[in-house]
This record gives sequence, C-alpha cells and structure tokens, in this order.
Amino acid sequence: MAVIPLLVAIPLVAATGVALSGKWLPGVAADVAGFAAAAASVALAAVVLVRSGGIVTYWFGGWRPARGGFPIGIGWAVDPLGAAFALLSLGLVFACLVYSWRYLKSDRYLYVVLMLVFGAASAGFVLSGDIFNIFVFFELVSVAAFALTAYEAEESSPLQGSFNFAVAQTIGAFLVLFGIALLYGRTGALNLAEIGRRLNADGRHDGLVVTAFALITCGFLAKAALVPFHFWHADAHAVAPAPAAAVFSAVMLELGLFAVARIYWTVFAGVLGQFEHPIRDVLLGVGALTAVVSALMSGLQRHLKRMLAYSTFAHVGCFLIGIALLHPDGVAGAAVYILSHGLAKTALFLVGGILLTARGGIDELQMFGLGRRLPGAAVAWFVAAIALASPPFLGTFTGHALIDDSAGAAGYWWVPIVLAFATIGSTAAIIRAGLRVFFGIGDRDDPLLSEEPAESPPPEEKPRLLVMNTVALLLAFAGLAAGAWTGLAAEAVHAAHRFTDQISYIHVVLDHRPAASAPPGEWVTTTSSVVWSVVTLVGSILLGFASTIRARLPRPVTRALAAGFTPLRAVHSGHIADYVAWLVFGTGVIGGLLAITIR
Amino acid sequence: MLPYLLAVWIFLAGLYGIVTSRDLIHTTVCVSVCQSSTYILLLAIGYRKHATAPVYGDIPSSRRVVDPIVQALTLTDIVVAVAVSSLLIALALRVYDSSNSLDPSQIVGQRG
Amino acid sequence: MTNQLRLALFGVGALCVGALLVWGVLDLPAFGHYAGPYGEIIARVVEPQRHMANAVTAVVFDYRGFDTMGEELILFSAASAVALLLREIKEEDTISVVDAVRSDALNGVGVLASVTTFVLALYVVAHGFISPGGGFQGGVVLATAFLIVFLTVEYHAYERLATTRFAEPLESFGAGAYVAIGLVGLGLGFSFLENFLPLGVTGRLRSGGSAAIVNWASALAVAGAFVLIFSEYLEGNMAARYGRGRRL
Repeated sequence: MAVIPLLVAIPLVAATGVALSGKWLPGVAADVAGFAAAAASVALAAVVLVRSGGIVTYWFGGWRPARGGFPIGIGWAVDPLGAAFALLSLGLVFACLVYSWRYLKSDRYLYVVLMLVFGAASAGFVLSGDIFNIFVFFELVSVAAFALTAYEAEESSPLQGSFNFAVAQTIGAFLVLFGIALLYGRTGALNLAEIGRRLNADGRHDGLVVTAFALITCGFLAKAALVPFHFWHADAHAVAPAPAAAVFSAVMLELGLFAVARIYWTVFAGVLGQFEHPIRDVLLGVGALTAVVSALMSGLQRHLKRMLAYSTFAHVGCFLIGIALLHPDGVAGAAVYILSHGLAKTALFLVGGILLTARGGIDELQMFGLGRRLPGAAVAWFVAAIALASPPFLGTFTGHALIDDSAGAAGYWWVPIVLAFATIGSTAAIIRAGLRVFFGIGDRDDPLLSEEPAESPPPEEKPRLLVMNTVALLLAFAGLAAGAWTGLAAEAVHAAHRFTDQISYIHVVLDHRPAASAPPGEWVTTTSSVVWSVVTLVGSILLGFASTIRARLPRPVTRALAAGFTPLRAVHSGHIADYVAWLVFGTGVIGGLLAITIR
Repeated sequence: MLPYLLAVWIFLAGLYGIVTSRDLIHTTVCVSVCQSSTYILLLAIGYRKHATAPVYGDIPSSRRVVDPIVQALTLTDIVVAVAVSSLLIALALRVYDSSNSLDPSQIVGQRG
Repeated sequence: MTNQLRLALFGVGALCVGALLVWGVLDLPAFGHYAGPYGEIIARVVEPQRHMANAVTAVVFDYRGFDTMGEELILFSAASAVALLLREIKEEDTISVVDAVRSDALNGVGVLASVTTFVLALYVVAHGFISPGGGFQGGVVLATAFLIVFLTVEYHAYERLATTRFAEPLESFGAGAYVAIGLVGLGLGFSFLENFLPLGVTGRLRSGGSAAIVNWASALAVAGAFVLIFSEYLEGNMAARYGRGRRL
C-alpha cells in the first residue's frame, strides 16, 4: 500500500512548510494548513486501518528483502491494532488543532508545527517494525512534547517542569538504546521479526537477553508514567497548554505501553516464553501499584490539569495490567480501554483549557462556582467523567470487562478490585472538581488539597468558545459511545490475536507469507463485569459528592488523613535529582526482579 | 570486554552526576556524559580486530571492515543528543532568567 | 528529599542497574570478534548496489535513510523550540552591543579561516559518498564557518551573515526537502525514499543517485539548525553582557 508512508510524510511536510512560511503568512494560514494536513492524514489512517486486515508490510527505500532474506532496509508492519492507534493519535491531534483555533496567540504557527510533528511521529512509532526506527520516532515524539510543554512557560516552575521532563525522558531513551545495542550485538539485526527469528533459533535466554528485555521494558515504562516513573509526567501535564497535555495523556503515555507490548511479542515472546509467569507477575505488580498510588494522588490535587494527569496514570496502570496478562483478551481490553479513555480524557483537558480561557483559572478552589455559566463545558466534563467510570455498556466498560474476564480466567482474582479502586478514586476526583467548579457544590476549602502556584491564562484574541465547547462535547460523547459499540470488542480480540502471534508476524515480514488466520474474536458480557461496572459507577459518583464536603469530617480524621498523605506528597518534590534517583531505583528494582525471576 | 564495561561505568557516572548536580547546566552536561556511554557501547560492539573503516575508496572490497551499521546508528544518536542538549540549555537559560538561580534545590518547583 | 536519602535511593538503584548492565554486556561477543550479518551484508553489497564507496553514508542516506529523516525532524523540532524559548530578546537589545575584535591580524586570519572552513564544509558534504563525511558532518562544519566570524571579527558581522531570519527558513527547508524527496519518489512510482536517479560511477562526485540530494538537504537542515541555535544563545548573551536587556 503506497499510502502507508503518507501517514507520516504529509503532516511532516506540512509542518516544515508551516515553519518555513509561518512568519510571513497570517496566523490563519498556519491553522488552515495544519487542519488540512491533519485531516488528510486522518483520512489516510482510516484507509490503512480498513485495509490492514492481516499484516501489511512496507519497505522504505524499496529494500524489500527476498523471501527469507535478510532485511537490510527499514520495514513497517501494519497490523490492525497499530493502524487503529495511528488513527486515534492523528484524530486527536486534528481535534486539538481545531480546538486551538485562536487559542494560543504568540508564534501560533510553531504550535501547529509541533502538534503535526507529534501526530506524525506517534503514527510512525506504532506502525514501525524496526527497533531503531521505533527509537527514532519516540525521540521525535519526545522532542515535540518537550517543546509543547514549555510553550507558554513564563514562570520558573513550568520551565523547570519541562526541564525535568526532558532530562528524565532522555535517560529513559538511553535505557532503551542500551537494550537495542545488546540485541544488535547478539543478533546483528534491527528488524523486529529478524531479531525475533534469530533469538528463537539461538534459544539462549542468558544475561544479555534478560538485560535487554529489562532495559527496553523499563525504558518504555518510564515513558508511560508508571510508578515510580510518573513524577516528571505530572509536572509536564500541569504546565503544558491544555490541548498538548490532552495528547500527552491520551496518546504519548500509551505509546510507551504499546512499545512494551509490540517488542515483547515480536522479539522476546519466543525466547522468554517459558518465563511468562514471572514476567506477568512483575508487570502486574507495577501496574497495580501505579493504579492505586495514582488514584490516591488524584484525590489530592487542586490544579485541574495535574489532577487529570494522575487520573490518567491510574488508568495507565490498568492498561499495563491488561497487557501484562500476556493474553490476547487482556491486550484487546487494553486497546479498547485506551480508545475510550483517550477520547474522554482529551475532552476533560480541553474543558480545562476552556476554563482557563473563559475564566482565567485552572485551580479547583479558586474557580469555585465560576463555571456556572459554562453549560457546554460542564456537560462535556461530566459526560467524560462518567465515560471513565466504566458505566454499564458505555465508555470504558468494554475495556474493563475484557481485562477483568481475562484476569479471572488466569486466576488473578484481585485485578477487578484494583481496577475498580483506580476507577472510583480517579473518577471521584474529576466529579469532585466538576461539582465545585461548575455548580459551587461543597466546601470552598479542602485541607487535603495541595498548594499550587497559579497559572497565567494564555493570551488570546477572542475566545472561540463555541468551537472549543463543540470539540470537547463531541469527544466526550464519543468516549461514552465507544463502549456501546458492541462489534468493537470482538474486532479488538481478533486483532489482538494477530498482534500476539510472533510466528505469524515473522512469517509475514520475512517470508512474505499471508498472516496465519487468527481466531474470530468473540466476547460475551458476563454478569460479574456488569456488577463491577455498577459498583464503579455508583462508587465514583458517591465518592465524588462526598469528597466535596470532606472538610467536614471530624478534625482528628482529616488530620490523620493529611498526615498519612504527607510522605506520599513529599516524594513528589519537583527536584530533578530526586526524579532521576527514582528512575534509577525503579529500573534497578524492576530489572532486578525480572533478572532474578527469569533466570 | 573492557570497552563494554567502560560504557556501563560512564553511564552510571553520568547518572551520579545528575543526582548530585546543583546546577542545571551541569545536569545537561551529565546527560551528555550518559549519552556518550551509548556511543561507546554501539561502536565497541561493531568493532572488529584487524579491520579498517568501511570506506572503499582506496581499499580492496575484500578487506575486513568494522560494522558500518553501528556507526550510522551512533551518528543518529549524536544528533538526538545535540537536539536534546540544545533544548535543555535553552530551558536552563530561561529558568535563570525568571528565578535568578540554576540550583534545582533553590528553584520553586511543583510539589505534591 | 535530603541529599543522603536521595543518594541512598540512587545507590541502591545504581548497584542493581550496574549489576544488570554488566551481566548483560558480559554475554556480548568478545570485543573485536563481532560477526553479525547486517553490517557484513551492507559492506559486501554497497558498491555493486549503490555505487557508493562509503558504507556508513550509504546506510545513513540510503539503506536507513528513513531513520535519518526522523532524525532531521528531531533537530528541526529542537531548533524551533530553542527559537521559541529564547525569542523574546528583541533586536534593539543587541543593537548597542560593541564587541569588535581590535586586532587586524586576527580579523584577517579569521576571515581567511572562515572562507576556508566554508569551502571545506562544501567539500565534506559533496564527498560524503566517497570519503568520510556527508551531510551531517559537513553541515556542522558549515555552521562553524559562521561562528569563526563571531569569534574573530565582530558580533554584528556574524549577525548580518547568519541572521536567524535566514537560518530558520533554511533549516525548515532542508528538513522539508528531505521528506519531499521521498514524496517525489513515491509520485514517480517508487517506494518512499527509494533511489530514482542514475547512480553514477563509484568514486565520482556525481554518485549516489537521489540519496545525494537527500545528503545536501540534510546538510542545509543541520547547518541551519546549528546557526539558529548558536544565534539564539548568542543574542541573549550579547544583549545581557553588553547591551541593555536581561541579566545573565
């Protein structure tokens, strides 16, 4: 399919073109060029998704290897899950560009440039079948993200937030690169399928293979904001412009998880297959820890974007649980979960941007009751919050149900409890903030919330609230509706079987054989998943209402709670040296656990 | 084995530098130190004894050469390093502008 | 976190990471005895397939030219971000800068060195497929030619030669041209970034096919990005040190 490279090439050409002419052309021209390029790439991504039934390869530079030959060029292998992810990220970039019509004034064309680069790079990242190419595209995503984070930084704390983000992400990239170098030293190949084939033929699962797996996994987990790699992501989300923070939450973090899954199933699944159990346990542990800690942290934030960031981390922990089950059903669950979460979370961040533009604030308590006259934003906020609460047959329900069922089948009875805890905790925080801001319900002060420096609103010409509200509303309802699409779960299960079949992947890429037929996806709703979904929905709403008046708890209780959270809060120090120490510690522990258990 | 161990050592030394750094510019340099360990590792992996550079201008094509791929990867890696360092320095300059300090412990960051 | 606590946390982590890394690298092929297939194959086929003498440049701009495109855009994004971050220094802040080197000998040698470096840069780019060099290396040398003017002549002379107004579009154009060449090939019915020009004769200046254009595009992008980054740094520094403007 000759359209495959266009997914990346069109936004990139448009980005450089806008940068070239942006200074002379009026701002509208940059906006229009950005829309056009993003819309074109979204349409192409849809075409690629529809036609990627099996696995479609594309060889750059025409370096298609002979049947069974060594791949000397860079190849992409487009499968349905990858294509769907590319469509999601390009679609959200397009939505954010429409939303930001006149949102940011100064050097707006550079914002368009960076968003286009971000979208193109994330699409390239998920479609690539070459490990070094994946590294390059992730660096491109990251550099665009660093720049977007610092986009409107006028004070020192946002700048420092962006600095910390850049340093920590870059060290994560070194871990990945170390792993790539080790794999290259062993196999002499960079193509995922070729590495996998050679590791399988070699059959050794010695220190090199385990270390490479541990480094690549930790490096990408660090980019996905898993605890203890989440600190700098929270800072970056809080300071980035709302639409940029939205795509970080909805796309960038998930890219890290996608890479962990993609590289595990193409490279390591064969050679480390006999160690599925320990790998599953370690990754499930990381996911569960992240889900619980982040859900608690989201209850302590008064800065809306920072609160939303922790809510995302809680869900990211759940995504990792889905992937860590190492079963197609879990992967399918994570995939549909990522879709509905991405749409809903983007809507929430965009509402944050609307509050900043229309009311000049992003702080829950300062904004108390100030959102009363913003009905569109309020509806978008609560619809998106409900979508994230996993209500029966709507929103994130399918994702939850698939992961719960898959975990139950594998004997992990505690997974539904963790998912419910993460969902209730993080959604209650969103509902609490919404009740205070949009309805003035509850107390004006809250001893449990942390202090936050105020953020200056972005300079804007005329707020285009109609456009902004429309985009946020559409995304929120889309997030809610994604769960109602019954065919989606079956499609996802089918695609996940394809995604997790290493042998078939290798045959398609290197031997030009058609993909092995994956079993048709089927999935039936179980009673327990409906029960859990009622629990999370009711629990989120009740806890959300209760949290608005939690200051009225007896004083000893609030004091004890605040004291209990003090160490958790103290760890989030905003200091780059602390963050890197945590990064090294986390890598050491996770890598060490993998090494000890796999040997 | 020594060059591989050297790469590990330099990587850890760079990390130590970042963790103990009291100056954002110094931190940036330490990030570059970390990154240079990846150059060493890549180039050391592709090195072959009694081999020459893979440039066939004036050597017979049968001559043993070192691995050209790792050299190309290193080149890419270097450009990534340049891009990140330049961005970090620009950020550090702006931090200094607004808070008159480069010491991460003295700059009020985001907490909690 | 206190310094001791942080060091302890780091120390524990670094011990584990260090042990893991050592455990990993000890299983690599012994130093100097690497025998992987990729480089071996490239070294064997590069001349017959691509008519290029320099296997590294062939990998960078042809076999793995798509990686290089991504890398070009990384540089482009970073340089745009630097410009964005450091832009608020206005030209009037630097107008009063007096920074002339008052030695005729130094001025003369400097101009000479700058011109020589400029020519050398073009040589390094042009011979990328024949001898060590290529668009990256040459692009960096090209940027240095301008910096020599700043060092040995005067800030304003440098500013006039290498104004950001000129470097920024150059950098965007170079990066865009790289992608556009891929698109041209696609339009002509080839794969993205596949060669669509005659390959020329190995060892001649006109070898490399369409990768040679890509080579020049990346030279422009790299030179533009470096000059842009230098200029943005210098502008603030000069304004702070000699002109009126911000403190640094």
